[in-house]
Amino acid sequence: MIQLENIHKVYRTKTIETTALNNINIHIKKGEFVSIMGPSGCGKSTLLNVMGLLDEPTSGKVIVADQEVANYNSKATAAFRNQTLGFIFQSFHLIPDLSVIDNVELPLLYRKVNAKQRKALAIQALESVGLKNRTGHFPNQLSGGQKQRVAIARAIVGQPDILLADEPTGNLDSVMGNEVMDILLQLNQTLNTTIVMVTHDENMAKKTHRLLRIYDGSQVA
Amino acid sequence: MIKNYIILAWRVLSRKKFFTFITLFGISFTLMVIMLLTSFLQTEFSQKAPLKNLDKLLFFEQITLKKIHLDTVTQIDTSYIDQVAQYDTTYTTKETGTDMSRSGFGEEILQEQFTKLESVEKSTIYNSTALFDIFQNNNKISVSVNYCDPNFWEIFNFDFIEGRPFNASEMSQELPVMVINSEFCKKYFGRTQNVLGEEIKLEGKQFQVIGVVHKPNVSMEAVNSYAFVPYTVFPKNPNDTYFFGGYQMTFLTANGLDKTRKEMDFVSSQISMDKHDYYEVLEIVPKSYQESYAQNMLYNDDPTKSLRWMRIILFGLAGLFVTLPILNLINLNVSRIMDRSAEIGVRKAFGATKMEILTQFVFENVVQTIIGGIIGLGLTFIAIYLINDSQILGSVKLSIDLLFFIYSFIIIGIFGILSGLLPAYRMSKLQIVNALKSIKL
Repeated sequence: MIQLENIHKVYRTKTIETTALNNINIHIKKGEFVSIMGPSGCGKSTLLNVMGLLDEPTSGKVIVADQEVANYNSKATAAFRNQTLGFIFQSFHLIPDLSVIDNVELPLLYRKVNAKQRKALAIQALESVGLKNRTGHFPNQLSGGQKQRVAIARAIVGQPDILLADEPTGNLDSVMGNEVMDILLQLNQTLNTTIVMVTHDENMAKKTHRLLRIYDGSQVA
Repeated sequence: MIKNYIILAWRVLSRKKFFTFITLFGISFTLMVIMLLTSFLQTEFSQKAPLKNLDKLLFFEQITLKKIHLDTVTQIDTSYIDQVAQYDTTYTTKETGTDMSRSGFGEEILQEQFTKLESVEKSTIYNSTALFDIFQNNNKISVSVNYCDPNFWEIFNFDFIEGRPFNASEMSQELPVMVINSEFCKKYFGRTQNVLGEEIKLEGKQFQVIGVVHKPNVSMEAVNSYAFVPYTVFPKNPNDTYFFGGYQMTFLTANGLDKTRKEMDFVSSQISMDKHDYYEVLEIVPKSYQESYAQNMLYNDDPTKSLRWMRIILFGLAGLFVTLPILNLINLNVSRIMDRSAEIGVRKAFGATKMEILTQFVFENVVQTIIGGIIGLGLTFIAIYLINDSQILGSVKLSIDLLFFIYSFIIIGIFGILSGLLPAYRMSKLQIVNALKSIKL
């Protein structure tokens, strides 16, 4: 489902050159739930961003859902991201001016789905994360765990093949963290969604199929 | 999609109330100033009754006679050559001063020299300086009277409520007929029609009303008189001379103003100064409507310079009032949109294209500007009401008409797009990863 070959990512400024990713080769199969661990600043998030087509590698090949998107223009990449990928962020990144349901509808809005269908799908997604009764609320009226569940609903509403989660439980206490983790595991099992999750938490990582360890930009396990 | 844009724009605006207030105040106040300026220019300079020929008119308002004093200065240099004194004498002529007299024209010079210009279709001679007090029902009415000729009605196209202008035969027979304007009519008769045949006594003479015109909505003095009578009905002012008097002349040019100006210059240069025993130089400067207006406003001797200055002042003011708020608005918008960079990152991550981000932000700005525009229109109505009510602009009444509305909305539209485009463009190009790094959301 996701194939990375010889991925290098180098950040250059006028005076300094930092290698964020060094010769990464990863192959993630469809339906796999993979976690990525490593110390802060080792390049985990950069790796996830490269997988999610949010960032381009300096060199190497990225193949997502059998597509090599390096040659896509920005519009085609945007459409591909919209169809294939869903994102969950550590700090939720819900849009404060939009209600819960409007936040969840966002990916469908850019897929030009009509309003009625958007609403139905969004309610369905919210139901699957147990927040059906919060549709009219705004993000600032929700707890951290609820926010992250809304973010998960937003990520899955378009039924993407791949879900990329960047420390989804990082800002949550253990109870809420477990709730969120359970939802992800359930998605993986019931819908066979491929999930890649960056985490600092060994316990969470143990629940996934496979663990990748990154150290100073290189894959060590 | 559009519905979503509108809802989002509304929420964004209502979330930061103080910011929105400052922005809306800026937009609406600026628009009010622009709209007032547009309304003023339209009222004063558009072609409408009685100035439908505005662009073809040239005006003679004042004649200047000059006498330049020359003095001969004698300079004697003494030098001694071989102990014999030598005298070297130099004579230089210098201007030591100018005597000048400026006034309205005498009827004679106008009749004799300027009624038969080739490049002029029609011309009219009139004197609008007279002011009489009359009493009606124990009320004093100050009546400004314009002594004019029948051509006056062909050059200035008044809207008649009833009746007609006077004609050449009434003028030559010196008949006491009178055309009055609606304002005077209302004051004198208490109504603005059904007054034909009524009589008004002026300077011991009974005048018969033969026409009533709408009071023009421009500040030009000569067309704003209360009453118009043939200038033959009153005896000539004994103080009038060949050159000086209270008369003015307006020309309807046939082939453009420049041609007539040249012909006028030539005719002026041919006028013999023998008829004046003191002055030696004659100066007549024909003015266009705009030049005359600018000169009256700025009290400058040179009409062309006056017009240039008036334009600089008006456009400078308008430019300042438009440019500064737009720059300010762009600045405010950039910081506000920067604040939302994480939102842009999220939207792009979930599939928004650059164009969609650009459209969203421009749309927000257009909504904001339209709201500001509507408030601005409201403020304009209030301002116009106050200006008209307080008569700051004299008898001129500012108004809002359809064209004015269209102008205003075009201005509002340009405002909205300009002030939203630049920040929105910058933000639409933002890299997703960088945008997402901002945790402010």
